[in-house]
Amino acid sequence: MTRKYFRLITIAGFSLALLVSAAAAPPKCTEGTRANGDCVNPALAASNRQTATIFSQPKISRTAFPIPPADDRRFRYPNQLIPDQLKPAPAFSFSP
Amino acid sequence: MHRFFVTGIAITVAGSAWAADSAPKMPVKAESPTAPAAFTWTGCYLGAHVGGAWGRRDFSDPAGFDLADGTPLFGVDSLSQSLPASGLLAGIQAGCKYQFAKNWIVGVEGEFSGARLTGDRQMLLAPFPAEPAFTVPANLHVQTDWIASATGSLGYSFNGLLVYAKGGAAWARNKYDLAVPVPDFLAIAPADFRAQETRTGWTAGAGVEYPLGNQFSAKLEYDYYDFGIKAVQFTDQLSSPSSLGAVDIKQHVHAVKLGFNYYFWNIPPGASLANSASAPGMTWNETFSAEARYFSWRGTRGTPTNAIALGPVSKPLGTPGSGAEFYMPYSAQLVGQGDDLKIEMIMRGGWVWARQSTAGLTGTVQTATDTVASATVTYLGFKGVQPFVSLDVNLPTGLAALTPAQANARMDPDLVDISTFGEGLNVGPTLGVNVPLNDAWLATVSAGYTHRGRYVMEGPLTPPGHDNPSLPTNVTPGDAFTVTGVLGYQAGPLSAKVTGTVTQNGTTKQDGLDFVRSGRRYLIAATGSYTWPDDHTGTTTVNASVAHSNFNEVLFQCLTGCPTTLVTEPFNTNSNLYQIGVEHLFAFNQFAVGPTGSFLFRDNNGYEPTTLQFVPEKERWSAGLLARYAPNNSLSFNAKVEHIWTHENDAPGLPNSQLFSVLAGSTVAGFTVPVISSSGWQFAVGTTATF
Repeated sequence: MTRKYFRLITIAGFSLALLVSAAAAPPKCTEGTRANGDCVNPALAASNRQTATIFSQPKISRTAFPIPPADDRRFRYPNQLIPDQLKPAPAFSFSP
Repeated sequence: MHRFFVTGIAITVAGSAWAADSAPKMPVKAESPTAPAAFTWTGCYLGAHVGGAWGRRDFSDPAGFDLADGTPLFGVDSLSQSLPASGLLAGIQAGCKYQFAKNWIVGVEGEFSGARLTGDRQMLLAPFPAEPAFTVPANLHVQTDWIASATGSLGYSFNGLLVYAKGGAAWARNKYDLAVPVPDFLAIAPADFRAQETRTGWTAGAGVEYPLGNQFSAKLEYDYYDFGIKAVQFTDQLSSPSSLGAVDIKQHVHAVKLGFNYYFWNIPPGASLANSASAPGMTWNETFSAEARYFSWRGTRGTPTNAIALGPVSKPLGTPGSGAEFYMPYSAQLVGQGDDLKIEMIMRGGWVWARQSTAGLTGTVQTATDTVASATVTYLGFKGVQPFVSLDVNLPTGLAALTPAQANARMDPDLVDISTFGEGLNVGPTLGVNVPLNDAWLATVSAGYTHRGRYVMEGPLTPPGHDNPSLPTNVTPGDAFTVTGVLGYQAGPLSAKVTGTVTQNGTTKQDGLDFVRSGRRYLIAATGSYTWPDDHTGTTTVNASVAHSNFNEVLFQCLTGCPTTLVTEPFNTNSNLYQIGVEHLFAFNQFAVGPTGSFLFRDNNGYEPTTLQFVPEKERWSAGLLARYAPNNSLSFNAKVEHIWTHENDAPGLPNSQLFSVLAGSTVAGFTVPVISSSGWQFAVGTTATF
């Protein structure tokens, strides 16, 4: 399993490096262009992408999503309390 | 190398600076004041880092460990444990780099990290071979106090982004405590075997480092440490003469560190990377964010709310409860903007203190939480579509398995922020694409797969004095695959977004056996925001969501004739979830303040494993005040005070007063879940700074 993660991290690192090497000039449109060549609405694009990546990983962590703490209110619900059932407590009975 | 000699800089491999070729210490060539300084990583530095680490200790071949009366502790059970340990680390590093052959960089570095990597394991030992069923409880505690390393590195600079690998020697300082608090009614003496040691091993790692300007750089690094196997000597602190024991312990550690370096040697004036003409083509912004949150609540019952303890003790969990939590999340974010690429990276960690008290039972825990990190790369070179790829990870730096003294600190996550502090190593890649429809509308589709790693969780909460302490459980949570669609709108004062997801879950194993496969989950969420035209009227934001899950497949727990494979549960124990929230911020120049409120409703009974409880029909209300102060575009402060009410109805989850019992594997006569009401306060302050 450790070897698997090493490979994953290595591939991700090289991919990131190659992609970074392709970038050079100051940006013209910070979120790319539409089909007609106009700039994409930057706030809308960034917000949609963040929402899509967070909602596509609802079980990445039980403690927090990879977002700044100030954004917690936007993502805490409804992705909280995802049921992964485990054995109930054998030392307990359910109260009357 | 040629460039280096032209500038007349005489260095060693360990020398020099990262800034310009025209280094000031060898003034061979005069530099025009307006000429841009060339970029090089050559230089020496001091720096600091913070991060998280996790790993395992494998115990084998114990010898000795006799109790004071000569009873061999491991008469039947060998000390064969694989114990995870995790936590935070922070420290300093110093080193030098030398750039050669245009873009290659070699370096040496020394690093020291103070750490608190801990792990605990409760065990039942059977010291009497003739009576293997006769057991005594024991707790094994491991702790790493520091890790140090001396390494060499080799890297390559891509437009200023240094990608490197490193390796070398490493050292670690460890402590161990094997406590055997034998109950009074047993005729054997208790023991407390302790040991400490410093061991040598090797490390290998990789990372990226990027200049921030003004002689500073930031780096993100992963390191693997292997400290091999070493025989560790234990001494009983309670016997005289001391009983001795020895056990082979294998140790390895994974660490992720976020660090900053200050380059102090061979930096030409004004030649920092930020203003160098040949500096990288991407522009970068760094954002740091942190909050401090305090929660305090009281309820007609503690958590779990619907369980009582059996045995000789009273019924502590059926009595009123109260709790408090202090949670401090923090994050560092790096966003790079290029012509055809956008790179967004974030790492987030946290620290939490939590305490819950019910009559006769109190739990307190303080720990680092798990650390989550994400990197998203968006390609901007296509017209009409912007594809992106993201990799998220959850690093197990928090406590997953709590000790009996800590376990009661797990509280209702509707009353506090954090009730789960750690789990396993999760890795989640996501592929997606933004499709701008016009200037105001944009659609996004994405698909993410989450591989969830194995972890150890404590057994069921056991009241003090109970003669059957629970043992930890190996949990292998099911993977998940999620498809997401987002439709966003933003024009003028109005913005809105609708998001839908479908999640298919894998099978969760417990102690190697299939245990549950959660039903497919559907979710739709919407949010809208409107900025009113008047000067101080401000902005109103409304959000709402609905979630539904299909029937789970479960392994029935029963006494005889149990199915051995997963079967579909006869009733859907997943609750539908409805939530709506609203906030309004009145704007006064750099200051904004306003009310916030929310309502959440679960319409049915459902089993919530985080707190090992069935959640009955439940409402959660909140109301409070938000405030934000932004003196400039780079700095903001926020504060929040909120009151929370929860109410759980007495309606049973199933019709005809029947309740499905997982233990019985069938429905049983329904009991009345008591009406439970709780209320609490939340106070939060935070800041966000962008550089």
